[in-house]
Amino acid sequence: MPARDHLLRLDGVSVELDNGHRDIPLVRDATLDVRKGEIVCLVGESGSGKSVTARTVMGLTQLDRRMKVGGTALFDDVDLFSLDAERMRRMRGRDLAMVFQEPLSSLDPVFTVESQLREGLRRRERLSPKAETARLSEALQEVGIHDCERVLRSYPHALSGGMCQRVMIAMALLARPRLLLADEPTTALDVTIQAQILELIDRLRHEEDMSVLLVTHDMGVAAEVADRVVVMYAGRVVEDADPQKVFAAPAHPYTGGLLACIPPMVGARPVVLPAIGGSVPDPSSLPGGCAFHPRCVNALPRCTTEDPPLEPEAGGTVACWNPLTREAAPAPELVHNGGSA
Amino acid sequence: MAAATAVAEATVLRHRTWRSRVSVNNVTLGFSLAWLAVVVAAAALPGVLATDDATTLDPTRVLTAPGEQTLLGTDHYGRSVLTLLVHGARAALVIGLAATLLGMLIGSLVGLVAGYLGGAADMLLGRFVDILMCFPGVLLALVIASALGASTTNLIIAVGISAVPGFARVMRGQVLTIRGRLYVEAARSAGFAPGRVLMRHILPNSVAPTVVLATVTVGTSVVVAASLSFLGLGVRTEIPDWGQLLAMGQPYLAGAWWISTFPGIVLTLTVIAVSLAGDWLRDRLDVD
Repeated sequence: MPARDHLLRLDGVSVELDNGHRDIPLVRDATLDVRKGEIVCLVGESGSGKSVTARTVMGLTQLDRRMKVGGTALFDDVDLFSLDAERMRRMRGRDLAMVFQEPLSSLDPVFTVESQLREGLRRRERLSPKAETARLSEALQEVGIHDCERVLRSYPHALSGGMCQRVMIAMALLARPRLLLADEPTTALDVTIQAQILELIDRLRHEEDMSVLLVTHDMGVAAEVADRVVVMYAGRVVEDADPQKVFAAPAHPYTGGLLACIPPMVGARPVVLPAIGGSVPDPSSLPGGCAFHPRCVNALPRCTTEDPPLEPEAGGTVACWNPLTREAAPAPELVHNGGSA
Repeated sequence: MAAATAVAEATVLRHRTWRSRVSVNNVTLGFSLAWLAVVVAAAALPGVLATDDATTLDPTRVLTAPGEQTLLGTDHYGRSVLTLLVHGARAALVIGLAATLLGMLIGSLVGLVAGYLGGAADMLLGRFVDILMCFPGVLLALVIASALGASTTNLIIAVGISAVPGFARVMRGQVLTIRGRLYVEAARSAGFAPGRVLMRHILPNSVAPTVVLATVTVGTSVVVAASLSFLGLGVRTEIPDWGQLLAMGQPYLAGAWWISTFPGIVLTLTVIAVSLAGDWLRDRLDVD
């Protein structure tokens, strides 16, 4: 693979929380690439480590002294994890920008939108006050806010969630980042606003030639905008492939299970939606072998002892001993209500 | 758009209900603020409120009862108690305000640093505050005042230090809460330096409880300062402050109750007025 194509390359990233007694693995051996101008969706259930991964790239996890980070994160051939705190800080808000899940609490309640946007802009460049104001209005118009003057004068509490999220995105874009990390940017918003925000991100990355790492638990969101889908489970990347491939023929049983939970839009609907039995394991007591095996419909005896490596499989990569794409030996059913391929 | 307007309307409504709720207490609040205005006026312009001279001794009207020649009676030197009270207001207010300011500055700084840095710094500063807290405020001020000697500055330092633990605790707790807020993380993710995040985002969002505590502390500081004066650790001046006046009248309490009683009433009223104003401010600033 041509390395120059890659903007961000995570290799064997691990995050451990030292709770005073022992280290709890939150992210284990996360490996993924984001190419230039690409939207990569990081999907998985709550607690699968997707947000922690994004926050670690941003260097925010590391601010907590109890967190230990391993592996490498090459951003344009610079290992972000080897940078000292000060150099990492300078990259934030310039090369890297982040948008969070809860727009209403992402803005400081005691300042107006204008003063916060101005503050963000000044991180990037020094302009005359007039030019600054022009840039702010321009940025707000870019994200689809047309009554700029009112919004600029507003305090965050006077804006709706969708507006706040637009403001947050505008703020992130004022930095003209090369990589935008969006941590569930649309989860707190209603569906119509959600579609608009996604369209906006998709349009802007073409216009700005920006790469996006989009964290979401919503397969629908991933289907809409992703160039590539990375599925995480219990802190590990379990599948990495094109969306067409993932949605048509998921390789990992977990991905298959996630897709089976979505009700079909055509035809008869099942009375009870299939769900993956059980829940994401507590990071402090992960099952041995593959972390997914207790919930897996395809589990083999081997799965209980050995954790599968991430290996190429049918056009993507997958970490599974018995992927759905391989018609291997019939699997003993361990869980009966799991999704099937 | 519609949602934004609705939020704005909800804000207006909340303000209205707040108004109607407070109107029940408006009378007491009005009295409190009026009383505080009188005290402040006395401190600022004592000559206007009390026309006779506070330093002139008048043997002809020694220990006269309230109402005979003067409104609140005279002391054993023939000075009007009212005049003395008016002239003592300045000392009380200056010490109360300055000590509060000092305690607030030191305490808030300690709390801010401890809460933000956490870890060893928090532990060390926390223990320091715990040590200060071991002693009751008055006792601590008493020890400091007697160690430093009697002067207005020392009195301010003594009373101010006794107010430090309260401010430190409140500020630390508030910083711990605010530090975890998403907008603080958002500010960090925008690459702002830690000092800037602390001063621009954490501090402004943390001050409301401190402001409320400060108003209440002005009241207690006035009392602590008066107590120190009462015990003879205050500044000896020609015109006694409220604490000294209380002490002065003590030997005459059986025959001339008014010398000690009126300063006591004035002190009590001032403290109550300050704390009612503090309650009002707390509601206003929406602090729990």
